[in-house]
Amino acid sequence: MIRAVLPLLALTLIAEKESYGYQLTERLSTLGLEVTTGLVYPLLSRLERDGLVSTRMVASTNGPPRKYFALTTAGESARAAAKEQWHLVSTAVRDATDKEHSRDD
Amino acid sequence: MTEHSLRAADSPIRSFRDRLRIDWYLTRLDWHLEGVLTGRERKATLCELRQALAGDPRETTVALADLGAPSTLARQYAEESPLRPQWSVGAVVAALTLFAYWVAFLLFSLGMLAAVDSNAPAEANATFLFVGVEAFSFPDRVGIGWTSSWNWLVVPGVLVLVSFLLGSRSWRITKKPSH
Repeated sequence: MIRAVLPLLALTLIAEKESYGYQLTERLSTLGLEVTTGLVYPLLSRLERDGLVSTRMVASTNGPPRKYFALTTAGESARAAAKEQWHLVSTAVRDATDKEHSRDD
Repeated sequence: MTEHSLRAADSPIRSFRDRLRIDWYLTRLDWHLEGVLTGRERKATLCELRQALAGDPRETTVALADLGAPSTLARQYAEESPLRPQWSVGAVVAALTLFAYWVAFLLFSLGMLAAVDSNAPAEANATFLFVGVEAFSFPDRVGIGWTSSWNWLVVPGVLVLVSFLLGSRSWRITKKPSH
């Protein structure tokens, strides 16, 4: 389930604030979603390959340089499309489960 | 957003043992990635992961566990890409097969030598995977020898070739990459 919405979540969080890979997993964790770096790193790699995010290396004073991800114009369009799809799906799921709930009552 | 506004977590200092752990993990991942990414993509991915691990503030074992097993992580990178041959895995399998063949051949020869030596003076001839083996033990000479000509090269050569083709999953080369 989480895997299906992870691209939308990642694009949304990156749109809010430029982030590096581990930072993104921490931000997801803050939202209550326990996502491993084993899921996030390959996803970021795919988003970069598809041109949905741009990257830049930022020097760190306390470690190696970090690769920060920012949303591109194509990424913004993809995020909007994914958000719309998510609304359709979540509305359909809510309607179906509400009906089931009213039948149970 | 300026670079000064980007706050990063502290990176730990990795011990020699931790760096070895990371190297071993990335080596195993490299083997698995060979089956899903091109050489350039693989190199870039490993370089990025090495940097990410170096900057990960958690303990090395925790950071590696969070990435998951190398084979699982490689599948995440693969997604819908067609699988590719794993030539380096094939080379390792071929080398191990050749080594196993040599060990088996040597044990067979030494076994024959022990048998003829216990019945000395005696000599014996046998065949091990199409290669003739001779063992002899006389008061003035003891030894083993191989009597076949071309089989001595062809048999291990065929074993190495077949194990390389199977180990590298060479049949995947017929599938076209999607990108």
